[in-house]
Amino acid sequence: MNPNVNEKLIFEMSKKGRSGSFIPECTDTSCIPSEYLRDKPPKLPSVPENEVVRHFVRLSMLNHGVDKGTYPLGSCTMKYNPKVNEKAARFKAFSNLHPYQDEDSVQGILKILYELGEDLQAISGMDGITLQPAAGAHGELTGILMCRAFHTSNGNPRVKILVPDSSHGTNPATAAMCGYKVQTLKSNNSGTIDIDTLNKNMDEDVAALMITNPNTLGIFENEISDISEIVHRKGGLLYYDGANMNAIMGYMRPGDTGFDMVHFNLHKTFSTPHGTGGPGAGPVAVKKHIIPFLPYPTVNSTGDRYFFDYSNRQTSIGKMRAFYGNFLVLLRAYLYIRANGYSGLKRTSELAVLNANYLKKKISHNFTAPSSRDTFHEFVLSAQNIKKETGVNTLDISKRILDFGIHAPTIYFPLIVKEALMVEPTETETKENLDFYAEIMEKIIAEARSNPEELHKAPHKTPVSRPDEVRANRRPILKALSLPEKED
Amino acid sequence: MPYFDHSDNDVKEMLKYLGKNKVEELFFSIPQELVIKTPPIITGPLSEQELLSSIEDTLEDATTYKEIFRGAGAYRHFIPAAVDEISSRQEYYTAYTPYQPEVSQGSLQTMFEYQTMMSELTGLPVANASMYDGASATAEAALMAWHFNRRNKVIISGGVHPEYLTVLNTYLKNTGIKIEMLPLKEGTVDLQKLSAIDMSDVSSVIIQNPNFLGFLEKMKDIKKQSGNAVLIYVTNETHSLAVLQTPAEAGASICCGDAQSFGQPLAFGGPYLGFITCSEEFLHLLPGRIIGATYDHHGKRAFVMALAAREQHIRRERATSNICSNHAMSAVRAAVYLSLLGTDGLKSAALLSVKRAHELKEALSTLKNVEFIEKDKPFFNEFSAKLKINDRVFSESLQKHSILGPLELSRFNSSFKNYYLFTATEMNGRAGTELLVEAVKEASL
Amino acid sequence: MQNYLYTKDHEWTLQEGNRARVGISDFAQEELGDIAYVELPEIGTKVKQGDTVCSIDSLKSSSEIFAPFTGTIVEINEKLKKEENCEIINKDPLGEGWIFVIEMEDPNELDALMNEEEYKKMTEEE
Repeated sequence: MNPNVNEKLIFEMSKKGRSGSFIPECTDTSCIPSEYLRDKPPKLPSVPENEVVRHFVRLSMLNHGVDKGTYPLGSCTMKYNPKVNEKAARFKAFSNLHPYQDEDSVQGILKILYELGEDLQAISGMDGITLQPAAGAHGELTGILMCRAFHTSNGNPRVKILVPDSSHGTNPATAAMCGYKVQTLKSNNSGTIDIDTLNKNMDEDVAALMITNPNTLGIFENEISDISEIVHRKGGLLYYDGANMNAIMGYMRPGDTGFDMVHFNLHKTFSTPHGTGGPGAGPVAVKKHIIPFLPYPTVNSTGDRYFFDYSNRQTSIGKMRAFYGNFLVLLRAYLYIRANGYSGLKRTSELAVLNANYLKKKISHNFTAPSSRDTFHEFVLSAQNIKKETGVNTLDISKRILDFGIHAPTIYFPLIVKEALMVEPTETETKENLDFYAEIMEKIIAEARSNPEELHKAPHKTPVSRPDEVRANRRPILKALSLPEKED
Repeated sequence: MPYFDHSDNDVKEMLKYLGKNKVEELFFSIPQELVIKTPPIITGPLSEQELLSSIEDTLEDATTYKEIFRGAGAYRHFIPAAVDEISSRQEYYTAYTPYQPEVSQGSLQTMFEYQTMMSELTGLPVANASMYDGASATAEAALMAWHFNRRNKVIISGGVHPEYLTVLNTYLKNTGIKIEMLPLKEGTVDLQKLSAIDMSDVSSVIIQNPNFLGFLEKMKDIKKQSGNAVLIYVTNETHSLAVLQTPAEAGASICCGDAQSFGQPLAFGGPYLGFITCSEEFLHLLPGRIIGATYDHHGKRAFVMALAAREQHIRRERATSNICSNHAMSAVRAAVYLSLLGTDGLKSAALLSVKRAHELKEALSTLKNVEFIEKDKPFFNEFSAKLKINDRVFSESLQKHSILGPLELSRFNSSFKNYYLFTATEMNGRAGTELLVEAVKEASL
Repeated sequence: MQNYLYTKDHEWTLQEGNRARVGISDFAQEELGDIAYVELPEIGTKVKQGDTVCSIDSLKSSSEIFAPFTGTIVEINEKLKKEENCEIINKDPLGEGWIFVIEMEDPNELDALMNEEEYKKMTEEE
């Protein structure tokens, strides 16, 4: 493909009479009275199969993915997606199951769901679980709705949710969707929750404190027992955002450290593909006192039979979606956990933390660190020093990284760190890959000093150069403007 | 550890570089009393061979049917082989949200094309890059309308999928928005009752078309009775969009639902493809990712995530939704599906489904133990009927022929005992139809 | 010279009788970057001092605009309804890029605001 030429839009490849033959032709509209019919047919592309395939294959080749190269996007846990899981998820027997089949005809499926739930509870140290949520943010929403239902059942829903200033944007957005006010806690100098600040803000109006542990700086909140004590003493709940679960498996269970609720991001920790932005899955595990509020149905077992359990219907928050969950995603996570076993999951966290620490030490001398504390599976550095010295900012550095076949880190997050670069290599990178990354970083920092102009213009070797985002926002074009008229 | 491991020597070297002796030392900031003492018991590790054979064993306890006459928001349509082929490409499925557009043009352009197709099908100018599923998309659409006019009442038709209604209740519970149910009359929206509602404090009117029982709604008449409340058009059989009056023509300003029919397998309920399209005035309230076209620095066409300031990572507690990851891969499948079928193919699939359903109804109408709800009202590819049958006999004969029969509506409402929802698509052949009709006949009381 | 007064939230106001024109300061537009959307208030909206009146989005941020005074919104900058015109806030924040006009209930509220010099001092300390 000529890199200077755009891949056409599929609509620009359209010509009348070119469609393939997939379904027997039918043009009979006689069953439907004409006043119900649309005036004109939709203008979908008319392109033969081979050209459709080529189009999407060519497009796909413009992407960077985990299978192509290192993808150390902080907070996203871009680990390898095992192929055996993909194979199983494509078994015809799974694709053809209707969600409203009778339970007796899907015992094997319910078994998978039940056992996955049991495994996730064991891994997190919790007592009950819902597999419904379709993503981490959806899990958060489920969790905070349950939190509200819990407090309401005790006579008072309370009014606010506390989040640290290093939190993911989904945390405050979720709290607001549940009718809560959000209060942000300023982190202390080492980047963790400040006990005094928490004490001052924790009162009986607070429904819950939402945190990740390790936090978004990759630092373990080692005062978690005190935090738990402070929150619970005032009757609040402690919510675990599982985005960073990859750091602690085999070492720490949220359920043993005072958390009342945990959501998992199966597409992060448990290797299900990120799919250019989902579908993921965000199961939520809870302690006993929250079980009555779980979305219905949950999956249960009598020992020899599996069934959908609607028994908490009266107290439940309801349902978070139609049907039961993203089954094909849940299946992949189930297989991943069993392939690893507990020993494998522990090893996963160990290597994730080892890789992150190794890479951090290799590159951090170029930057400033927001905290001197030990970090786990990811780390955050600030390019503020480089910016002051050379004018090259975090965006420039991350764009230049793309030229070397590596994905950029998460940038400008967490918000409390200026010019932040957030790096999470995951466990599935070799030492050679990490050394290469460090080498690239040295090169880029040297370029920043010798030829900053080149960095402002980076990347140079990608399918497109920096897009004009101002234009995209001020003159939004959100669909193909003129579609070829369909000739009848 | 499967899939990946370091060599012992690499681990040793890396630890040495860090000045550590053991990996455990990296975890020392976890207070000792919190460290797991007894590892919990979970199955594994299993080799790939064991894993596959165990899953194959499990599959023996899952029945797949040759003929499926069940829909209710999850439809078995034909999926061209090329859809699976493209969606199996690691270049798509191992990428993430296109934060770096320079190395994500494939995902971005594909989603831009998907948005164009959804806009074209619904007639509404703006589409997002996907939601989770139809039920949560409907709830988010109601929230959009509420953010738009800040009125505190939602009218929802009794013809909306009952699970969607449950989800709407869950989402809206703490917003102060009141949900008022508008029961169906003779299978469709009760226009008289609708016209009697004072619309001045109604935020949105939510109507599913074709409705849950399969009937077509008179959308333009509904629009007339909805005052200046936002009309939200819900559909979970998106094939209908190829044939029916578009939501835009009907006067809806938001359309949402599930596009599972566009190339997503049944897969026991997920992942499916939630979608929202809307008129321009809702653009800045639309949740989720939106892809826009622009140019790169060399003047080459390029695509980016646009209007990000709507979203939670920027707007935090002021965002209209917390959605971040969506169902992008399902949108990729839909884009490929719609590109392959084109207008004529999609219309054929839709009209064949309609035809098969009408043939089935016709055949059932000769039986004495079948009583249709509203015999003469137009429907799409689903219809409901009361069956006077012996359940056991019915299910045994269906089982014998590997047929997944119609859905018992008592599942949602006990007053619907003996009522069934029949569904057909282009996948149902004449032979299957005959066997189903025979089974209904045989089970007659 | 016109007498711009500033709030600690980086808004400027310009008195016009019992009305005041409101916009964001040059410092604020510089901090926010390319403005791409303004969610304008409706004419006739009554606001109390400190209330959120509307919001203003740049590519990477979203900020609230607070009412500098108690009163009624009587005019809005219609030009800003179009995304493509939002650049006037970046180009001419104190002139063409005004956002709304408020009819004040109590013009004494003006006294609490900073003059140009005081505001400049505040931004330098930030």
